[in-house]
Amino acid sequence: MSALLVFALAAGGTYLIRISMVVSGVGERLDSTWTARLSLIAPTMLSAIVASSLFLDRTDLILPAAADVVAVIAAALAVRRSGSLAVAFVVGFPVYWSLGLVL
Amino acid sequence: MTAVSVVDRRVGAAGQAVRDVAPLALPIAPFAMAVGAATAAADISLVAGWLGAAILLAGSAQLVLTETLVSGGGLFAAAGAAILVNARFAMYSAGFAHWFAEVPRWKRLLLAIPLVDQQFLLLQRTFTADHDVSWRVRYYVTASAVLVGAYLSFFPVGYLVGNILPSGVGLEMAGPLAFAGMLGSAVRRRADAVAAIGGAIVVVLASPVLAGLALPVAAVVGVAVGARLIGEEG
Repeated sequence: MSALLVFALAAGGTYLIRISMVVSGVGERLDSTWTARLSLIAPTMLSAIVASSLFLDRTDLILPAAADVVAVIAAALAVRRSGSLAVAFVVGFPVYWSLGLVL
Repeated sequence: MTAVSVVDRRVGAAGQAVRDVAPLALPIAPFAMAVGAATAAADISLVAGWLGAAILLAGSAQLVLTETLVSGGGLFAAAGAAILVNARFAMYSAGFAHWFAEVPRWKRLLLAIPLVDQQFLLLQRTFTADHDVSWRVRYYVTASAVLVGAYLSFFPVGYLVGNILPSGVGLEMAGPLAFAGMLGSAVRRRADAVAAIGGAIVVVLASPVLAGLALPVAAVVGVAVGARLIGEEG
């Protein structure tokens, strides 16, 4: 029950964030300068998420395993080269598994 | 516009959404399994975990929430940590509100429910001025259904089998690999690369001090740095 309550609280807060720019009306008034900046959100957020998963244990800085770093870089480069997101796993996991055996 | 062309346009939006979202939905399977496995490891029941996944619709936040609970954080600490991780959705919300400005507000409030990283990336890549609002809504709803369906289908699988898989499988790598793949696809210009590097550096350096707030702060700094480059390049 308490777990569901935590999820409900988190979901409620998250929903308010999701609708924040709809309710405030800010999103509808964005000019071309701001819409150009919107295109930078995805790369910024994605790299921040990847960096936190590699270099942070919650809020503590950690030295990541070499296999993790190489697999992540290989996945990003493979997708960039192929244009297919599915390739991230096709390349990333084998790299991770093989380096895990070697290192 | 004839009735036939309206039907074609609608089928086109749904069909294109399925085609575009498939490569994004595939990586969701191991990621959802990783979240399911973490939920099981936190001794949260399958029903509560699955319902939580369905209402939260944010895998990384659910991971943080369960980790906080496991490490002894209280109810509000766990919910607060998850909300902070999702603070980045405010920026996605700006894009969402812009793309769906012509949709009635009550409908937008419903449509915003499944707004996640993958959706934002997809819409940013797809929507142009040529797409009218009904096409956009149909595309978005279809893509959402596929993404949410994949996430909620594989979550119980991870919950049930995730913790009996050998540790070498590296289910926990599913998230980083999926996001790295999306990053590889999102970086197209020098400004994107600079914004990405800026965001990564800030989140790593700021997390020990700002904790969950580091992610939204990194987003603001990364976008600001990249935007300067866009300005310089015209």
